[in-house]
Amino acid sequence: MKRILDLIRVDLISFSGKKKGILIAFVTALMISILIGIFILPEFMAVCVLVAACLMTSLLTSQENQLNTAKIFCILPTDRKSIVLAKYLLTTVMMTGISLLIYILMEIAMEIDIYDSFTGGIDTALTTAEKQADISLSVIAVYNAIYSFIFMISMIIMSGSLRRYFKNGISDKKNSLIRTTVKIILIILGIVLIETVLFQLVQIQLVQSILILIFSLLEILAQPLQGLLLSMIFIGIGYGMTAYHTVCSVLEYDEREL
Amino acid sequence: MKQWLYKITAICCAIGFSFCGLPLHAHAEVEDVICPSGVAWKTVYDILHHNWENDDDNEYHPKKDPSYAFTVFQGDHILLTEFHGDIDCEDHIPADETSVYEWGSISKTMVWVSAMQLWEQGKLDLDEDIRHYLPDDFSLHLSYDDPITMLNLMNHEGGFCETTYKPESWEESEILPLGEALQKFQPAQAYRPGEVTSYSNWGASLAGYVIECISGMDYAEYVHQNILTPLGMEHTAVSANHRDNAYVREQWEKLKSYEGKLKFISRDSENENFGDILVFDYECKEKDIYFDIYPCASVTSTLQDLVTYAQAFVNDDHPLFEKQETQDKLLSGSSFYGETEIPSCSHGFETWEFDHVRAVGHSGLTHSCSALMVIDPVSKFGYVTMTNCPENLPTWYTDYVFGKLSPETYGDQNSTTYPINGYYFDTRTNAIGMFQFIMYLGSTYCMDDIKTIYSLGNDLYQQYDPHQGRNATLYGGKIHSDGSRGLKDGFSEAHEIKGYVFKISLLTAFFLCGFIAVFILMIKHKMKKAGKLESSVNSTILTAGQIAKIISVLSAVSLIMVITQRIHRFTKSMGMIIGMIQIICIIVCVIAGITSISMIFSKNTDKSKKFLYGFSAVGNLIMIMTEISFQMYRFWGC
Repeated sequence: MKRILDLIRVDLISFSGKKKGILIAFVTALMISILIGIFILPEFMAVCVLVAACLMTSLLTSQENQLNTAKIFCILPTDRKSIVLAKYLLTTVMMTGISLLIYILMEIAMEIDIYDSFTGGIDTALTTAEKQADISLSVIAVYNAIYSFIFMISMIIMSGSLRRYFKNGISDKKNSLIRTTVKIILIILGIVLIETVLFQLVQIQLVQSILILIFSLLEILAQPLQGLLLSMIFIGIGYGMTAYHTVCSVLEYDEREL
Repeated sequence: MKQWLYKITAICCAIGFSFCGLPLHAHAEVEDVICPSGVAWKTVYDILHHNWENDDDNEYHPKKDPSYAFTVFQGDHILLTEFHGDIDCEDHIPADETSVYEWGSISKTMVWVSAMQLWEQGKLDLDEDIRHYLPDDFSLHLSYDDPITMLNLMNHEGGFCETTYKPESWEESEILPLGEALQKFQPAQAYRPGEVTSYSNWGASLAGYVIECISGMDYAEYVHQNILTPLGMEHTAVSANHRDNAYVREQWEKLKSYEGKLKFISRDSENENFGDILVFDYECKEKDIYFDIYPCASVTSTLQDLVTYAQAFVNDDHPLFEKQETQDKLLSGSSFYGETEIPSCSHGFETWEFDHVRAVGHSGLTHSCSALMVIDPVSKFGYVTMTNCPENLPTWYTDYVFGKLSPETYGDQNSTTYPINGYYFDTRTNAIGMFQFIMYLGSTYCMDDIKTIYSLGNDLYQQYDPHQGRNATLYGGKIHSDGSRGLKDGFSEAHEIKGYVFKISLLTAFFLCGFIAVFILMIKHKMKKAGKLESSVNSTILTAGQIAKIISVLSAVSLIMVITQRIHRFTKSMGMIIGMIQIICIIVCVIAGITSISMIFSKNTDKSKKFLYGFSAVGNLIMIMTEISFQMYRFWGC
C-alpha cells in the first residue's frame, strides 16, 4: 500500500507540472458550469463531471507526454500492478471528490434558488412536464437520477481512457490537448446525431415499446427515497466498470513491451 | 299521385335520417329545479350542454372520437340525457340508446343489493362469519382466525390484498365456474379482518358466491330474477361472457375500446416545416377479456338500464326491497371516518360528502369501459355516465350537479396542519407474494412533505391545498393492532410501513449485488483468459453464486415489467417458473455463502483473498435475506 501511495505522490507531482493548458481549460469549464448551474440550470453542473472525466487522463499524463518520462516507470523499484493501481486509485478518488463537490454545489444552487428568478421557474416547467407525461417522480428524484447517470458515464469514460493509456501508451498524437478537444466536439456532434436518429426511431412501434419498457423500469426504480435506489445502481455500475478496467489494465500493462 | 306519394315519403325519410344523424340528446325543461349543488338546473343544463357542444376544432384535434353518455335525473324524471362520440371510431358507429357499456365495479352494488335482500328475508346475517354459508369443500386460506362477515366484505375490510394473478380469461372457453375461479385466484389475507380497509374485487366476488350458496341458484340467475326483472332492465347482462342477454352480447361485440396516446405526426404546412410534432389521439385496444370472478365487475348494459337501476334507489316504492327500512339501511353508513358519524362507506356503496348533500353510488373501471353512478337519496337527484374510453369519463359533471366539499364544511380557520410522518402504501396492492417488493418501489409515498392535511378532531382529517382550489378530501385516522397508522379515504387506505428505510436499503443492496456480479464475472473471465486464475471447485461454486445473483435480479426485473406494463397474461405457470428460479437462486447463494465463509477461515487462504471472500459472503447474505424477506419465491397466491 505504501508503494501505491508513493506512486500517487509521483502522479500528483506530474499533475502539478508546468503544462497548465489543460488545467486552465478544466478550471474554466468548471467555473462556467458552476455559474450556469447557479444562475440558470442547477443540473447543468453535472457537465463539470463529464468534462473532468474527459480531461482526467490528459491532466495526469500531460507532463509525462511533454518530457517523455513514461519510461521512468521501467526503472522504478516497483511492480507494474502498483503503477496501474496508483493511477486508477488517484483518478477514482479525484472523480469521486469532484462529483461530490459539484453535487453539493448543485444542492446549494437549488437551495438558494437564484436560478428560479433568472429562468422563470424551470422546476415548475419540469413538474408540469412530469405531470403531462404521467411520471410520478419528484423533481429531486429526477435530478439525482440524472446526476448519478452522468457520474456513471463519466467513470466509464475516465476508466476507459486510462485503460487505453496503459494499453497503448501516450505519444504526441495520442491524448494531446487538440486531440482531446476534437474528441469532445465529436462527442457533442455524436450526441446530436444520436438524438436525431433516436427521434426517427421513436416513431417505430417496436422501438417505442422498448423505450416505454426501459423508462417505466427506470421510473419505478427512481421512486424510492428521492431516487436513491436508481442512483446507487448507476454509481455501482460506474465503479464496477472502473474495477473491470483496472483489472484489464493490470493484465494488459503487464504484457506490454515498454 | 304515386309520384307525389314517393316524394313525400322520401322527404319524410330524409328528415328522419337527418335527425338520426344529429347528436342525440334529450332535455326536459324544468325551470325552477335547484340542483343539490345549490345551482339552478337551467344553469347546470347550459353548462353541461355547452360543454359537450364546445368541441375543439383545431387541426391537431384527435381524429377519433370515442363515446361517452350521461344522464341527470331527479326521481323518475330524466332531466338530461346525452350521447356523444362513436362506439366504433373506425366504422363510425355513433353511441345511442342501443349502445352498451361495461359497468365495472358498479356491478358490486348488485352483490350488496342481493345481500340486503337476503338479509331482509332473514336468510343472511351481516355479522355472521361467511364460512358458515360456504360449502365444506370451499377452502379459504386465511392468515387470521378472526371471522370474516358480510359487513366486512361490504366495507372492503376482509383483509384481502390484490391477487397475484389476474382473475381474467382471454378465451370464453377458459372461464371457470365462480366457486372454482375464486379458489384458483384466491389472494393472501394480508390484514386482520375489520381492521384495515383494502379494496378487494375478490372479496366482493366471494360475497357474490355467498349469495349463490344461500339462494341455491347461480349468481347471475339470482340477479336476473331479483333485480333485473323487477326493475324491467331488459338490456343488462350479468355473467362473465354477457351471454345471459343475447341483445347485450350482440351490442357488446360491436363496442370498441380506446385509450389516449401521444403520437408523432408530420407537419405538412409549407410555412411551418419544423418537422414532426407530438399530438394526442386515441388508439383502439384489446377488449375481449372476461372476469372469471364476475360478480365484481361484469355487468354490462345500456345507459337507460343503468339509469333505471340508479332510479330504484331514490324510488319511494323501494322496488328492490320489501321494506323501505332495508333500502334506508343499505344506503346508510356502515363504516365511518375516525370517531365521527360521517360515513366512508354505506354497505358497499361509495359515499361522497358535498357541501349540501351526502351522495352514494359507485364508480367502475374495466379494460374497456368506465362508468359512474352518483345518487342523492334525499333530493333524489342522480347522475350516471359511461364511456368506452376510460380516461374520457366526464366525472367532473358531478361538481355542477352535486357541488364540492369546501374546507369550511367540516373545518374552520383554527384547523391546524397535522404533521403526519413516515412512509405509507396503498393497501390495495400485492402486500404478500412475489410482487411484494414492487410495493416498496412504486406504491410507497413519504408523508413528511405533505403539509396540506388538517386535523379536525375525532380522528377526522381533511386534505386541501389552499393554493389549488377549494375542494377538500376527508380522511379517517386509525391506529392498528400492530401500532401502525392508517389513513382511510372511502374504499382505500394509506397504511404506514415500519422499517421502510431498512427494507429499501436491503432492496438497493440486492440490485447492486446483481450488477456487481456482472463485473465480477467479467473480471474473472478476463483473468482466466490471461491465465491468472486457476479453476477449482470453490471458484466454480462462487461463480455459480454470482450467476445466481444476476438471474435473481433479472427475475425481479421481469416481475417489475409485469406490473408496469400491465401484462395481463401473466399466468400461474409463468409465476411458478420465476418462483422456482428464485428458490434455486436462494439455494445456490446459500452454498456459495457457506463456501465463502469456509474459505475465510481456511488456513491456506492469504489475507488479501480473505477480504474478497468476506465480500462474497456478504453479497450472498444480502441476496438470501432480500429474496426471503420480500417473498420473491412465493408464486402461490395465498
